[in-house]
Amino acid sequence: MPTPDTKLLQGTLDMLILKALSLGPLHGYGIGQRIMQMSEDALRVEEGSLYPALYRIERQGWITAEWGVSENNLRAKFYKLTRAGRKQLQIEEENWERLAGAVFKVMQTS
Amino acid sequence: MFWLRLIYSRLYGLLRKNRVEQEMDEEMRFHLLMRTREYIERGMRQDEAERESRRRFGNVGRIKDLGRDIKGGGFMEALLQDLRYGARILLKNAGFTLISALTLALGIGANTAIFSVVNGVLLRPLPYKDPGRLVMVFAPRRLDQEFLISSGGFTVLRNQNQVFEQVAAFLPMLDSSSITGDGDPEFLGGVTVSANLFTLLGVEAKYGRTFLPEEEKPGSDRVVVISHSLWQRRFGSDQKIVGRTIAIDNEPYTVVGVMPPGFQFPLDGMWTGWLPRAIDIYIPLALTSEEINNQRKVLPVIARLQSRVSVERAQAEMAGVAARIKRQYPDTNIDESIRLAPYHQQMVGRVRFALLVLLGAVGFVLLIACANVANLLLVRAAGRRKEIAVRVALGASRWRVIRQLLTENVLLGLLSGLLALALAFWCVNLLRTIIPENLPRADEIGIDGRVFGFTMLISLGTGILFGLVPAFHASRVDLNDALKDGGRSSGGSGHNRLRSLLVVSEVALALALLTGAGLMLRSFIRLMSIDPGLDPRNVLTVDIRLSRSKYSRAQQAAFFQRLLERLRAIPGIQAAGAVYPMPLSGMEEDLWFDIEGQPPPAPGDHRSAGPRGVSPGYFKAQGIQLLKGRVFAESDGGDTSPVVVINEATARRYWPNQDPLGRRISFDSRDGQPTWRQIVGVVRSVRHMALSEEPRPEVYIPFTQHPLAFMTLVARTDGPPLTFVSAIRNQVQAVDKDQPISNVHTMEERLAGTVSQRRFNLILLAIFAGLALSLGAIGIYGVMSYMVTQRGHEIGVRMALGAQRGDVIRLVLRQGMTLTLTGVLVGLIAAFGLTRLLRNLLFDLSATDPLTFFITALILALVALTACYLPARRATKVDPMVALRAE
Repeated sequence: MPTPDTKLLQGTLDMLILKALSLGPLHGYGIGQRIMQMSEDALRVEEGSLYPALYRIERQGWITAEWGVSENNLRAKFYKLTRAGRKQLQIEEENWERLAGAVFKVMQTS
Repeated sequence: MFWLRLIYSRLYGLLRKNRVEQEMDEEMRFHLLMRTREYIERGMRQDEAERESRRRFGNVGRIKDLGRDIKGGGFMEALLQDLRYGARILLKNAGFTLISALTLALGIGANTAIFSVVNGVLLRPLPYKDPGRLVMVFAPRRLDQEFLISSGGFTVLRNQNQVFEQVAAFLPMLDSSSITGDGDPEFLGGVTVSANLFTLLGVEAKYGRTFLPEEEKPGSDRVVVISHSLWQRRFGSDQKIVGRTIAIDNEPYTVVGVMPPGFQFPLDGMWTGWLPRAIDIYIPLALTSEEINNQRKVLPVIARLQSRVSVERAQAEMAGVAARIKRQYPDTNIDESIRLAPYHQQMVGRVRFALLVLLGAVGFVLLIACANVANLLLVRAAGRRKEIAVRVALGASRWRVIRQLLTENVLLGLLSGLLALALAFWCVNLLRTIIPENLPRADEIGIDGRVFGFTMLISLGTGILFGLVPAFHASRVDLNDALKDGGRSSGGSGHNRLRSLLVVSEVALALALLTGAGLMLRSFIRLMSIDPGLDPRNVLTVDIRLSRSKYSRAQQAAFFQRLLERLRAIPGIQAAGAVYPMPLSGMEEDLWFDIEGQPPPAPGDHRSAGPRGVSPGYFKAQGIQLLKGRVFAESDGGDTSPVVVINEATARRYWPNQDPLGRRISFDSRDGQPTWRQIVGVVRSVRHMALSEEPRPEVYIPFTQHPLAFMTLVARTDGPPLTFVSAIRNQVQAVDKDQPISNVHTMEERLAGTVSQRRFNLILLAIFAGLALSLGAIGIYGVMSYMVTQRGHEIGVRMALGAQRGDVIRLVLRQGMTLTLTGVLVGLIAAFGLTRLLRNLLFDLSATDPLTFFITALILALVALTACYLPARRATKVDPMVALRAE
């Protein structure tokens, strides 16, 4: 079994999912694929984490799901960012930048 | 708000369950399909790609489980699923279910039955308004904590205090309260009460009214309030009863009210023996000013505390009241101090402790039953390891497995609870037959909402208690080990340790109970072997209460004389006599006396004895042995010189090493005109109060010289005493056709009545100990049988290598007895600590009586040995070849 290079914190995974969906509605498989593309294959999302995370975020009201037709004409469930989700993504991005900046600073001081 | 939303979403989730399930399935199928295509595009073969994508996806079941939980409805759905599954498992293993449910039902049912007694007697509020504020008022004397307050003291207390809302006195009508007219003459329970008693209790009449304050005055007190049951029984529920005149003791009384159904006062067992159980008539207690001032009358007094006044605060005020009483009656005061006791506590205090001990003991039985069922569950869990392993492999989380097993056990517990309720209904009826006569509030024992709630609660608790540990154990499976077809699934050493622990606790608990029961039994045997000082065999006793208004004192004596002559003429009656107060009836009096020629004792000290009015034939009828001198003769009459007979205790205390015969004593030497009574005989002491109490000094007086309206007839008969009842009643009615008899008992019944509380405790403890012993034996048997099966292979090998029958039996017995003896040791230590609690319930026996401890431990060890021997013998029947081949 290929082990993921990077373990994702739960909150981080939620943020990545929201980010992936900010470019347009996607189905579960597509979300995993897009996160992989955007990270240039560095991040691989486990299905065992992806779906529970999706259900959780859906319950929070940040995304909604509806059935649609996939690029190869199959019935698939598409997730879409809600207004609340967009706001949440913004908050998380800001938090993340602040955190990442701080961590970067810490790591630079030797 | 949050909860509402949660419940709503869960319920909604439950309804749309299928859609959620389908959607998740479809979503994941789509994902797998996409992944497979991806792999095929990368060059894999179709089947390879499918396998690889499935592997990468991971555990579908677990993801769906999580999804269900997150999406809502998961919990309820899982619960329903667990319940359905649990019920199926229980049905499938009907044998196991039946045995466990019966074991538990036995334990729970016994607990329910005892709790119903505790509930009725101790927990249910008294049927009065705000009963927590009712207190009894006593004036303790030197020896007696519960001595009644004087009539003068009552009047002061009532009028001069700042802590009570109301104060009322009541006095049971002990001598006579028979009702005539409207049918057969009947002796009724009657109480004279202060006019405000009903207001104090907060109970109104159902028809008419209760008493008016002015009806407490002598002369205007010819009014009566009757009980609902008397109204129904004797007056046919006549709506126009109020205002009618009825005859009580041949005096006209006007009925002013009928109490509501179920009203009773007083409730306590204090008056048992004096009165019929039910009180049917209430008459105003009218004290004359002479009665108030001479302080001769003592009264039971009840009071209602003002709101926001605590018992302690009121008690603190009582010193002032006592001082006021003393100022008011400087010469005649007998109320040295005043003590308050909450009414409920006063009523049940006597039995409270014994009932709690029984409740604790029956709790032990339930614990043992739980241990047994837990053991069965452990054995079964070993057989279910594979099933559980499969479920875990399919994605069930550990918590989910535990939850499912627990649901199953709680289901079993509740099933047992229902069985137990049925059992308890039966038990409570059985209990009623052995409940002591004088248990207060005995008629309030039954199964009500609270008892039902208690049963359901302990069933639920029981299910969790016996199920939790096995469930945890069962859920900890090693997948590889369990799924490998090992065939011989050993429970693992953890299981064995747990099982041993359970057996040891069972044995210990059983031993503690057994020791308690053993102590009670030995103490009871000691009590029963005490010589009461009279011969109770073939003796019939009947109370006769003459109306004082109909019979003058001389006529009272004449009545009993005539009646006793007639009784002696009945064929089969060997001897007949009369006495008041009757031994073992609970009625006692105490009189101070002086001895002629001796100075009165120092102040604060006194000579006292229980006076007893008797007919000449009494001693023979009761079988009381004459030691010295003579008993009374028919010639000792009202006009001959006064004589008395004393008992041995009096002789020993007041004339040690002297001859009391010929000495003279007086009960009224300080009144100016003393009557000196000559001692003509000494008889053996009778235990008048109770078998457990040392005889007290007593002085017998001929009833012709001190006539009494209330006496108990005592007749010694040939053959069963109760066959003479109608003959005696005929003779009574031949003398006076309106004279009722009451309280018909054999002397043996009366004797048994005095130990009924102890007998009740003993019977119940013995039953519990018996249950504990059998359950413990079953537990040991079960574990040893299991162990023999488990070690069958090893035993086979040993036998193949030449072990003898005896060796195998020893092997099994050694293991069983190690467990048992550990349990016995723990049990002995526990019993040593616990039986101290029984100290007050034992008679003449140390709570750590070594013989009892030794014997009960021996009995338990022998029973355990038998329980181990059966599986041991089966072990020797193991065929070595079969055992080896089974590998």
